[in-house]
Amino acid sequence: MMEFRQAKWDEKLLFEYKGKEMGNSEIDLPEGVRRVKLPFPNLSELEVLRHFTRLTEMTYGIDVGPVPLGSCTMKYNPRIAAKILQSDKIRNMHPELLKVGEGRGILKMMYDLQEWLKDATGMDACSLQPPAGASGELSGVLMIKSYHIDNGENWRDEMIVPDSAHGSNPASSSMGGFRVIRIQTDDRGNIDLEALKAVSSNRTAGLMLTNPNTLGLFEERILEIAEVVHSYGGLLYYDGANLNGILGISRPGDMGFDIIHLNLHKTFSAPHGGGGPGAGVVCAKGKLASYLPGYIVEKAGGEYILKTPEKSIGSVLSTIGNLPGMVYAYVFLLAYGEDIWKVAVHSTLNTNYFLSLLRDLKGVTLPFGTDRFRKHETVISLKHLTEETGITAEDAAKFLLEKGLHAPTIYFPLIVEEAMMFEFTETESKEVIEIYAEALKELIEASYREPKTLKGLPTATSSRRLDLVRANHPQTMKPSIVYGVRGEGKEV
Amino acid sequence: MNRSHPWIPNDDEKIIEKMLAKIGINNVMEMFSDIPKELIIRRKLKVGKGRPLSVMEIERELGSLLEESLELPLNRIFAGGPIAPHYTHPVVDAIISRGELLSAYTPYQPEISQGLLQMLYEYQSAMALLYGVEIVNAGMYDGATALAEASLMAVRIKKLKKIMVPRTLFKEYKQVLKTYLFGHQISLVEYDFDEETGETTAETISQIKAEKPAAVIIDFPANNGAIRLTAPEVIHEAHAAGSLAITFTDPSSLGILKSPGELGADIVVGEGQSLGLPMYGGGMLLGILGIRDDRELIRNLPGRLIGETVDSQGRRGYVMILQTREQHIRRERATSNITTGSSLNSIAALVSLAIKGESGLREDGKKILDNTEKLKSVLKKIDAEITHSKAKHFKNVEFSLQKEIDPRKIQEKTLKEKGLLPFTLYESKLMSCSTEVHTDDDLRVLEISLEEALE
Repeated sequence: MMEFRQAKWDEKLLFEYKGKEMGNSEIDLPEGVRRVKLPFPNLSELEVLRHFTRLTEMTYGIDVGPVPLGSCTMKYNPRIAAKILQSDKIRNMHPELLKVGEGRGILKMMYDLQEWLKDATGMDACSLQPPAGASGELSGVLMIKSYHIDNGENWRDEMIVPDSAHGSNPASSSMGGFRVIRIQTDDRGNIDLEALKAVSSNRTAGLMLTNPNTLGLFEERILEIAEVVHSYGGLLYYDGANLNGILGISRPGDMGFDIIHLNLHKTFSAPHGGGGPGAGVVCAKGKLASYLPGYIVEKAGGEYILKTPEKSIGSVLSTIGNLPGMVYAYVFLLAYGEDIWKVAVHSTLNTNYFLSLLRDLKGVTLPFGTDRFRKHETVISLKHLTEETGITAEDAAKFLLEKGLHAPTIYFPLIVEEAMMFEFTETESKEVIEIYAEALKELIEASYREPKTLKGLPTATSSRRLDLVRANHPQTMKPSIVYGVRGEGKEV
Repeated sequence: MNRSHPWIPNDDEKIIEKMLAKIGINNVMEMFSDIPKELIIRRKLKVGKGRPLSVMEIERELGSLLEESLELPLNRIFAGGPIAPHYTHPVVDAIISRGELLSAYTPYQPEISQGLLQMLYEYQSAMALLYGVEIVNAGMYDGATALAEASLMAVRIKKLKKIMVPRTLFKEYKQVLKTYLFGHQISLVEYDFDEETGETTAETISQIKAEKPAAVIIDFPANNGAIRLTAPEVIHEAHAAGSLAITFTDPSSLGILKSPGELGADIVVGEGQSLGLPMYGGGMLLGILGIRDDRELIRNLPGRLIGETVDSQGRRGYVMILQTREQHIRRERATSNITTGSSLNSIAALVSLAIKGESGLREDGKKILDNTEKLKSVLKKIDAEITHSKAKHFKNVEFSLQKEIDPRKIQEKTLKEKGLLPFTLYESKLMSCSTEVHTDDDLRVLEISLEEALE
């Protein structure tokens, strides 16, 4: 097992640096709208660079080690894309140039990307505008709403969402003005088909589904699910967060989905950047294609032009979308080409190999469809361990941090108690997975042997366990350096 | 087939065999046996160029693709609108291309993500100082979606289904607002200004009183550049009508302009690209969203929020806070569906601000203010009719050409002959801008280019 100690700089806040005292020149503006003071320090370039370099050293990304957060698809972000993005030909591209057809190379890239994503998913048209997965979801939900209204069926006000779904699904449905109808998961980890039939009606606007679902399981009866929803006049929405498990093997378009979104920052290797920017894509079939948001790149007489679909729901961003994210996806697809199926095969292989290393581990269970193969991710439950030793999924996560391994997603999906959700992706090696499984074994042993010690972890990270109660309490909450200061009459 | 992919460490027959043996199966496809047979694709996908390309080949491929794009230096771009040419400092690139940061996820495990969390906390604090409020979240997708989310906040709080928007708001933003508000059938009501001065009129005031909207959106400075001196008055009237005041402010103006918080705004919004992020065709954006300290506003705030706390040894540290507002916990009752935001762009804006400091931000603001006046002189020389011509402008200037000439042709001509982008075409008007990247010589080139194109 490797030794680990994260950088631990006692780095003060940017605003605590003194810097140069520089006088301010006069500004020719009326007093009512003129700024008097702005308490930012005036620092040298090296001071700034050093401050932020130290902070990045206290940050952990996929370049440092495995980040097997489930449903997050933390894979290698190809550096060749980063290099291409340094070109001023892309950096200095003003949006107006694309609108008047001048950024031909970029428009051509976007066009090819649309075409490739259409074939990869079995859909008829794609818009690259949504800036994140959730934005794709909102687009899809609004497309469903618009479509039903156009058909004179504005009474369809219910969106069906499984209990294993990402939280953004019900949240997007609400933003679209729909009532969310929750349905449960059966013992095999599939949607309960009987429950689906029971809640479907002519008020059903659609069903939002992730496949493979958040348990890493493929919806075995997806064709029947699609038939039920369609028979009531509802539409099927596909959350593409988990496409990594079936990319090149099976396509949502063939399963009966009408609208889908993809996450270029998950499946297609764009970086997560510590929480964005992401890049979503929303694709649709048949009549629904004309409801897509934003712009579609079309080819007309050898030229590429941006076109708004005829019945478009409008825009979900002020521009064409996250262009750097598109470049990553383009590069990713060039690098794999027809071998793209390897992504699904290796991410799935890694998950099932990992599970095979955890067999018969005390205190750990594999809930739902225990005999089934997982795809790109898996969820285990530490419920027994918690009952027997008091060590929770959170404690387990901190133990992994102590070992220099980023923790998996914990406490999600909500239908699994003391859940730990792992997704290694195709870019982690057999060796890393073995190290990770070994660390989990150590954790279990330590939980029975010395649970108290575990509660004191981590110690090897930049900070010890942090006080969340204090951080969230109205009396002690502090979301900025000025918070609460103004109230005391202090001028900042 | 035994070509191994360089990005897949286990793409090797021997390794695969060992892994399959441990799992207890013979073939990788056994793991996909639960997918109905008719749903398994029996062909190779048509993606990329068929054959996988090496990194070197990809570089060549992209290189020739980009050859087909027109490259303009920043100082030859005068097109106005929500995205504008601003200088990106190399220190910004140096920081945001560091792998620890670039390849990190949302900081769900704070102990191992302190650097990222501190940067986002500093971002929130820097924006709070700039905008004169106490709380700013960690970042939204862009200015337009931040404005839309702010409007949805107001609708939830006031339980009223109307939002008033200034006529001068970016067209691109109005489109996004409309889309976001469609779900709950909220209507947008436009209000107008004095044609010459760009100031609020008595009509506006009575309109606010009559409409009783959930919120009034105030662009300060106006998106067409006019620095509206009556902005505080509109905020006051909005409050008097029981509405919330949402301001939209370009942060590059805040080194010289009074903060919207100080003017009385309840919710402040901005687009961070102007702090020095590359344009990327409109692809590197940052929605700034902040609020004054108010319990109801806090409860309704969308997006990630970072807060200060202490660790078990009493040392200062940072965590994500108030997560019960968010989708992964609150689900259909969440304040928004937003999950992935714009963290890396927030940090880029922060580094840029750190480099500028108070003095750099003021100097840039001053330069933009001066350059915009010079831009107006250029436009006057070609007899353009400037909207709100009596106002002082910041960055953007909206105008129309008086001659019976197609602006499309002018744009084409200056692009082809001078390698210069003079304005953005909107339905009825044109918009130009000038920023800190332009020198007097650059503005002179603009003048000559326009004059020649108009001949």
